[in-house]
Amino acid sequence: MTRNFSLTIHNQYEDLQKLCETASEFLESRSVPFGAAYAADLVLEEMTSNIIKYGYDDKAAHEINIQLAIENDSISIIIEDDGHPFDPTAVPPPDTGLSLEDRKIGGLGIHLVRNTSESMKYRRDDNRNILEVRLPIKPAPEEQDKNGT
Amino acid sequence: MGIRIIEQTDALTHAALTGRLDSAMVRDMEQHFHEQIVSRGKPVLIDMYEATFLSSMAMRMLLTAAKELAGYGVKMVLLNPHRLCEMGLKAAGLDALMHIEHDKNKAIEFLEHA
Repeated sequence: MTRNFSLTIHNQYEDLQKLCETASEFLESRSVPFGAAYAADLVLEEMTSNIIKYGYDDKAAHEINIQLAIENDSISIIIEDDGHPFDPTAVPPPDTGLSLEDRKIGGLGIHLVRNTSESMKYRRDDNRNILEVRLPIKPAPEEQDKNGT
Repeated sequence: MGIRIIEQTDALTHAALTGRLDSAMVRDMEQHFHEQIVSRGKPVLIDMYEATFLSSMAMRMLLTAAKELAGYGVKMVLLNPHRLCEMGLKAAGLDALMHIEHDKNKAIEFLEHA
């Protein structure tokens, strides 16, 4: 049974939903622990929605390529797009210690991905953004309850 | 899916967030959430048990709500989030800005005295 998954979607939210559903089904069918599958879902949702929202100036259809590979103790996710050059690894983290009054709205998506991942690597190649995120696979206590409670 | 109003009284707004709270879902429900929950200006109890996925857009909606409710002088409590959702809220530092509780009576008591 293959442990690689690839999908090309367009820059629209309907495609993002389809991507997350398909990826979740793939990970579940390969018995990936729920916590790691949740983290993969989060990476796909946050990084791809950022591309759809901020990646393009025009209204044209653009392709976003996603590759996902299950390895021994990690999941590799590679997301490629032809949007504006954008290095998410260079975005400073939000100040999570501010008061409610001073706390800025937004900026949480990349922070959540960074917090969840083992590593994030970015490169710009042939006018494309290429982001690789590596997530640890840990057989964790969450397996006691598939809902993560 | 998304939001369910459980109770609206003079003392409290009690609602549940349900299902997968991804960016598309939040875009669809954000206005309803504001109109039915935040703009009443009452203390808010949000039951999170049926929320299976919490995106940054959902956290942004909750943070915006907490800020606006503070303007009314009231607070919001998140009740029974799933473990992975709670981990996300903590990673975002939102547990310091809105109360997370796993006991409904304690949550209501907190809101009564906040």
